[in-house]
Amino acid sequence: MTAVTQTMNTTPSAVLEGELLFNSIRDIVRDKLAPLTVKIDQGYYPTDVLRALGEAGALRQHLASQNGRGEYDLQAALKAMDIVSQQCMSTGFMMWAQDVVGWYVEMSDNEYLKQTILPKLASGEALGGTALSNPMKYLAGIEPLLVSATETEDGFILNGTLPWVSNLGPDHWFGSIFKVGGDNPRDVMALVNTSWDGMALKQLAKFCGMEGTGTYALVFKDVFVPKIHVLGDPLIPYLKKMKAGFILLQTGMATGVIESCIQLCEEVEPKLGHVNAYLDDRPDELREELEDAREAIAGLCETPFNLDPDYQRTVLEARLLGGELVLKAANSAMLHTGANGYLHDAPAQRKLREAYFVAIVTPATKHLRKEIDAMAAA
Amino acid sequence: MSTPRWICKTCGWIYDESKGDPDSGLAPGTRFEDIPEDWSCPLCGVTKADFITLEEYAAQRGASSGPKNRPPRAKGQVGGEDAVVIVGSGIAGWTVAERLRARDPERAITLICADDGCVYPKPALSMAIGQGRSADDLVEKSGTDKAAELGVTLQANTRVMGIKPADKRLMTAKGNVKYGQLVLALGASQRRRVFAGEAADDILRVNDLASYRKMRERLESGAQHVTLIGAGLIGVEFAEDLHAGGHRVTLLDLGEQLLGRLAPPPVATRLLDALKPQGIDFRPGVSLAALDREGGAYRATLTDGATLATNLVISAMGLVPNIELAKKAGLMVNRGIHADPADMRSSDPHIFAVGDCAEVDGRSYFYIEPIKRQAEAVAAAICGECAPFERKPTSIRVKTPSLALNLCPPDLSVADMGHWVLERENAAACRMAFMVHGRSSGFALSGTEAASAAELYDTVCRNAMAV
Repeated sequence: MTAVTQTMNTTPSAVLEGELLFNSIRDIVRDKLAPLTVKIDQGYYPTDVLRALGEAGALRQHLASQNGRGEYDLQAALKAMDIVSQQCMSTGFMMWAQDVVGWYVEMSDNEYLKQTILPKLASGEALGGTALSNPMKYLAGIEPLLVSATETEDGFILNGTLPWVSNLGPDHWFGSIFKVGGDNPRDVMALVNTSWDGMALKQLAKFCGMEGTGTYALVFKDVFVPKIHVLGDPLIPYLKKMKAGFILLQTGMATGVIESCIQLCEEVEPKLGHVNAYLDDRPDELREELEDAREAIAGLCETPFNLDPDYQRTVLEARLLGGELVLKAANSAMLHTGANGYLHDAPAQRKLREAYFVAIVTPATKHLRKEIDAMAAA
Repeated sequence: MSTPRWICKTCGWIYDESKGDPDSGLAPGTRFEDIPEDWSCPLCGVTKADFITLEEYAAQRGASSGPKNRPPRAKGQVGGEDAVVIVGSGIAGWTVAERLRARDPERAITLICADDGCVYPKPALSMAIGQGRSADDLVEKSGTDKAAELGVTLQANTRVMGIKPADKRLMTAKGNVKYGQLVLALGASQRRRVFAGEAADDILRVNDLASYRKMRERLESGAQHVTLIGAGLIGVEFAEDLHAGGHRVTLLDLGEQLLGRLAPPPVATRLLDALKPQGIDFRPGVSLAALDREGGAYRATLTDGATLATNLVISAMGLVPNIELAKKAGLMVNRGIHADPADMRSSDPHIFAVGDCAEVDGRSYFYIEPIKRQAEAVAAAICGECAPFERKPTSIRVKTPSLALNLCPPDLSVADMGHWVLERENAAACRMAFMVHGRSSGFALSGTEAASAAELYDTVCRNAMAV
């Protein structure tokens, strides 16, 4: 296990503790999540599963202030997400959302939020989403910022609409970046609650899968955000600090789905190996690629605060690789399992839809390529 | 996965005792022999008698006519155990592809590059403005066309993230690529230094077509003031080319003269005298300290405390070979990737290094002529022939239209053993030789004297071999 440590003490007992954590996650997956996978894909939001994962410790591994070890153990957070995503990537995705809301607070200098809300986010008692899809695209020059704010003495008044924010529900937290006008124009990020006055969640058009992810449009109408909830102001240094972690934390979804796709291919090998041999991207080749990717990601997880452009670019590339490999693996799972994978509730076709999600969710494949391209010319 | 499993011979559905078949009333944990005889396969409806264990099934399949080896794949695949994979589409990478193809029309060659693979003359980057050529005008051929011409599989816009020499494969952002032989033509990067100030990230480093295009875009809005950090070869060439494009230039360098150690002081002074009337403002002993935004432009704070308003800052502090990939892969590296002059092989027998990223006998070769000879050495070695890379002195024609300049700096093995001698000079020209034990081991020629470079170079080469 690799991790950024403040004290550098990956002792045998810490490894054992890790195994206990992963075993309890496997138990939750088997007993609580597996029976719900198809329902979640169709629209059921699994509050109980997320709470159970939080209680088991799956949502605080990357939070040095909350995991009892004083280390930013992104690797453990990713492994937890990987195990869950092998069964149900919708839930893995919500773990990422939850992990990232905690990461926002952990990376801020806001002691108030660290004392009050962070422990609840880390334990799953409070839930939340990232809401940074639009701001990430804004920063990459793809979209304008959709929420604007007026500054008051002790806070900001927000207006606007953010489409497609996930892991939301009543009384959920999310990180919001908004454009402040007036005498001191700038971009600011704060932690906001969906139940605050003026906030509304709007149900959107139906997606082809992953419907149970609590995905809504967030509508802000004169929402007052107190300054005590500010996460980043000035924004850019704060975002730079947390960006690599934000992106690396997504890769657990990809590795989990790839793993399960490989298993689907392997399972039919005894029956279909003689003809599947004619397919591209065979399970042994995919396994090799997955292990290489996991190794590269583990290396990157060791230094999430490295601001060197080469490191930052490699983080984007690792995320890009996740999106490319997961599509390849899911495509392979479909071709290897054949008609059985095409059945209505078959895992292979669900994983194909999940895989597209990895490649589409912000930062999407095209977004990553644009950013990497911009870095190449710098 | 150790629980007993049975497979339906007809449709391949698997009965796993630990999972049971709850839809048919079989609880998880129901042993196969306890399943009632009237139970049927939930997928295809055949009976229990049509199930066998996975082990039996695998044994039957193993004895069948299924192929033991993977069938061969289509031509045009990326990489492969028999393929030469070249990483990098600069002059080094493409020249290796050309020389390989010339020797072996059949060999599978894949070229992987982070950009689009287009072919352009890199030396032109520091004279295109004066020639009135845009970034697009510099492109001689698209990567696709070049690949088609050479019968090379091109994997463009793909960065190599890692090399596993033991398994002979590369990791890229598009997945793994196998290789038989790997040629690293990774190039070099302009040295990066950390500057203070909120706009420090806006400083450009121009070393390829993409960054050059960005520079030209930034200059599109008309005459500007450009600050160049570094007055080496690239710095002085850019300074003059930018001036030719109507821009005002301030040239900073921590050293006391232009061109650093490439030229002796009298020749450097002549260049400075030629640049001054053009308004190129050279500040010796000074570099950038911080860059901040001010109005629609920048305020550059210099190390001597002076400030200047500028529209664009370009850093040209010298090239650093790109060795990170090789280093992470465990190849022997120094400043560049260690390569044997006999065949440009790295410390791994299946990996070669060529061009700006390579280091031969402690020397980097950042110029076209030696790079092409290195490419030849690699191509020959891969084809089982021998064409060693010969270490020759470097002759540089400096692209400064205001003063013709030909330089041949002494090799590092003799740099401390000799001295510059002024052989001839007049108002229009200057000829200096670097003398080691009475033999000419380098030269610096300006003005009309520059025309005698070829002849002097032959002498220097002969003397070098004699040493």
